[in-house]
Amino acid sequence: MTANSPQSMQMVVPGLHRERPIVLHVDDDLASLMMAEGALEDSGFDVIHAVDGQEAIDRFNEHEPDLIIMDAVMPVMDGFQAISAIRKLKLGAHVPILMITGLDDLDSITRAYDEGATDFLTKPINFFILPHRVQYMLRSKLTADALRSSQSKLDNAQRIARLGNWEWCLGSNELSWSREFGRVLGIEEGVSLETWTEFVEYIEEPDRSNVLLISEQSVEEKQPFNVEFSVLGNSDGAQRRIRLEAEPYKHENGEWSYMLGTIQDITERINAQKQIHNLAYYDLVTGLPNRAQLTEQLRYTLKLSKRNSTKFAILFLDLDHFKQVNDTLGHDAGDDLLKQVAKRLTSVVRQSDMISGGDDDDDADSQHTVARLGGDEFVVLLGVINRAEDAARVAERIAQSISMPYDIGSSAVSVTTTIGISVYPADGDDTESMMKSADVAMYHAKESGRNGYQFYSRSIHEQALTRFSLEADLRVAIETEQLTLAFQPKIDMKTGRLAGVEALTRWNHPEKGAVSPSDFIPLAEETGLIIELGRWVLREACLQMQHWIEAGWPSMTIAVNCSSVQFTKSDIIEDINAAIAYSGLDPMLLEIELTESLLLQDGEKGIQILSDMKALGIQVSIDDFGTGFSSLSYLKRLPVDKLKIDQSFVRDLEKDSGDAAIVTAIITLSHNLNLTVVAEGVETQEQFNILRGFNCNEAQGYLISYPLDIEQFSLWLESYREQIMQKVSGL
Amino acid sequence: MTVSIDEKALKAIMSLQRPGKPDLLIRITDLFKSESPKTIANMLEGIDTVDMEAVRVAAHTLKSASAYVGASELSERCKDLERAAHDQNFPACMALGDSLEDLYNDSCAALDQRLSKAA
Repeated sequence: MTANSPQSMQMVVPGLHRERPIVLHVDDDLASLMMAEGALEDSGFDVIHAVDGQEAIDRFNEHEPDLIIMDAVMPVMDGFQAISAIRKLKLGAHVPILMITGLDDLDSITRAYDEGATDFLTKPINFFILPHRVQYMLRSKLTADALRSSQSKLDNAQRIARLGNWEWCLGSNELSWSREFGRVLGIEEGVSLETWTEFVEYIEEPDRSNVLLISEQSVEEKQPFNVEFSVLGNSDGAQRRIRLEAEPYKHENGEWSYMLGTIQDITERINAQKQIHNLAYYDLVTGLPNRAQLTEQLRYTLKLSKRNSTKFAILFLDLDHFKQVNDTLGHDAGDDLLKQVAKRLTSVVRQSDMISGGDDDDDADSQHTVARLGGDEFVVLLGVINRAEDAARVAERIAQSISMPYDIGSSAVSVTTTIGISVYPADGDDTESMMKSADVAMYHAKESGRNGYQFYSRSIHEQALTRFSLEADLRVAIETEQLTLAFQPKIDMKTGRLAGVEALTRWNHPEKGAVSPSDFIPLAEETGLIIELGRWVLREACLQMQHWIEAGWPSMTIAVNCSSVQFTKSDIIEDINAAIAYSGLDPMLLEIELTESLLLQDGEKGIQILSDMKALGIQVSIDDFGTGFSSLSYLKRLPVDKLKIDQSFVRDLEKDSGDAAIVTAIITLSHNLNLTVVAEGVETQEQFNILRGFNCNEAQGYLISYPLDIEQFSLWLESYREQIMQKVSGL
Repeated sequence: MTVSIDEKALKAIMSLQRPGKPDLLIRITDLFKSESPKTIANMLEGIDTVDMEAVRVAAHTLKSASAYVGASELSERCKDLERAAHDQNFPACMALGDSLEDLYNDSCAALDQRLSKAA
């Protein structure tokens, strides 16, 4: 019905649901009832009567009147009791009640209001005024209804949205707030919260400090702000996440005197977001990342590997005969098995982290991912590997771990796994091709028998196998002393006297014969076997030299090479000390050879170790000098005794004037720093002559002698003086 | 003893008369005459039995009823009676109630006379 329709024009009280509002008139005075009826009906009301309180209640329930006129003094039940009873009725709570009292009966007026009367009128009733009063009361009732309804709608809306509003008076610090504000914060009924300061105390740290800071700043700058924080809910004490929005508000006098705002409980929303994320990125059965999450991780790993030029591997695996478990024991058993497999995979990968750990990457944990693609397919992403064999090693551990029996319900179940491996960058340069390569490799592995692994690339597979077996053999070689030492002498270029020998490692493999140091030394360095190997060499070299000295041979230094792995990952000082103590060799006769690049890597720490070596009384030389980029000032700070010019400069000495210039410079420089200079790789008489002309101190190389084993060296030593003298005199 | 009827009260009733409806003044005076004897009987019985509450309620009722029909003297008397009953003043009630019936009868006579004149 629209406001200007004819019906609404006729309405006594526009907006009321009845065109003619019903008035219940309660009075035991029939004359009064009659006269009021005349006046009210004339003005557009319908009137019903009751002559006592009890009848009034019955009439009320029967007709649901819009307003009640209630006489105070009546038989059976008086007006006060009737009001009190009506107010307790569902529809009676808000119905306007006009109480009729005696002219000078103040007590009755007070009592009427106490019981819930809306207004009062004194006797004798002015029946002309009465309809106007009734009309007025109905209008204000509508206004009150509208306000109540609006308030209740707002309350409901706030409750549904878990949204409360508040008003903060900046002058007094007082805070007023809506009902839902209290519920959101978990404020118990009856607990007072009257200031902004009290409110802030509900916030958990560290959010509290943050809220204080932001709110102070916003008040200062008269800027709106929003902030999220946590509070402890009242019912279960669980943490709830709240978002607060605020805006400065101008008082009518134009001053910024209020902050108005809302708070909203966003816990459910955040939980839902988390749940959505989990559903999207994690497998429900095993809790492992799913394909989507793996793809994201893979993309990230690929980017990182490209930037850092590192390798990573994908292990694609499925369970052999998983279908049989599912078919015979049921899907629940199958799920249980998948969960246990997931647990073992995670555990193996974590252990692999610890084994390869210490490689400068503290967050190795996050670089490896175990994911379930669905069905019985899993993927292990090894984010950073040094070599393909690392992946093979993890694959072997996985295969072994997966093949252990499982307790599923009351039965013991065994499964095996077949693993395909792709290695970046050899087997693909994007995520799809890497996954595909691993998948293909797995099918190859299946063809060649289950419970095994296979690299995508045949050459990587073979290389990995070769290096694997070589590594195993080297381990055995160190234990069973297949390793021997060879000795290469150095002579003094002026006198031709023996200046010392360099100890070199030789490996005589029982099946493969002699293995080149250029093959097994890098392998030993990568696997860390070099530390044990280095210890053995040091001890053997010292022992042999001491042995010769005790046999009456002339004193000479024995030089031992030290690898960068030994230098940085083991306590080299301790090892040297042990070798000296074990052999009884004079430390003066031990010389440690370090490469220039090694010293450059480690800077201050390197200098410290060199100083410690000098303190032991041993000699230190820099090997392969000239290949690195040592600055003169740096060289000056190094506590070393000798420089060995790299053989690459010596090789072309006769032809290349540039090399000659470098060699001259090195020698001049070294002499200025009081260092002895040794030329490596001297193979011809001419090289020897030129170097002697440059005042080089010592020479080593095939011209003097090849590396020799112990017996050969003994023989060589017997006759060396003569040989050398001949060469020297032949200049 | 002559009793006067307050014209203003009668006019008020007549002004509430709506066209086509039964004569309000007749209805109210008839109601007054039919209900009041019962009320007066209650009141006098209350005085006889020293039930001040019964006296008060009856006096209150008759006070309003007589005021509507313009029987001002009767209404005044009832007002005093109501007050005396409320104050538990039994002697005053007896004194005021003594000639109440007469006052009522005189008031009714005056009212009839006034109405017959109007008719």
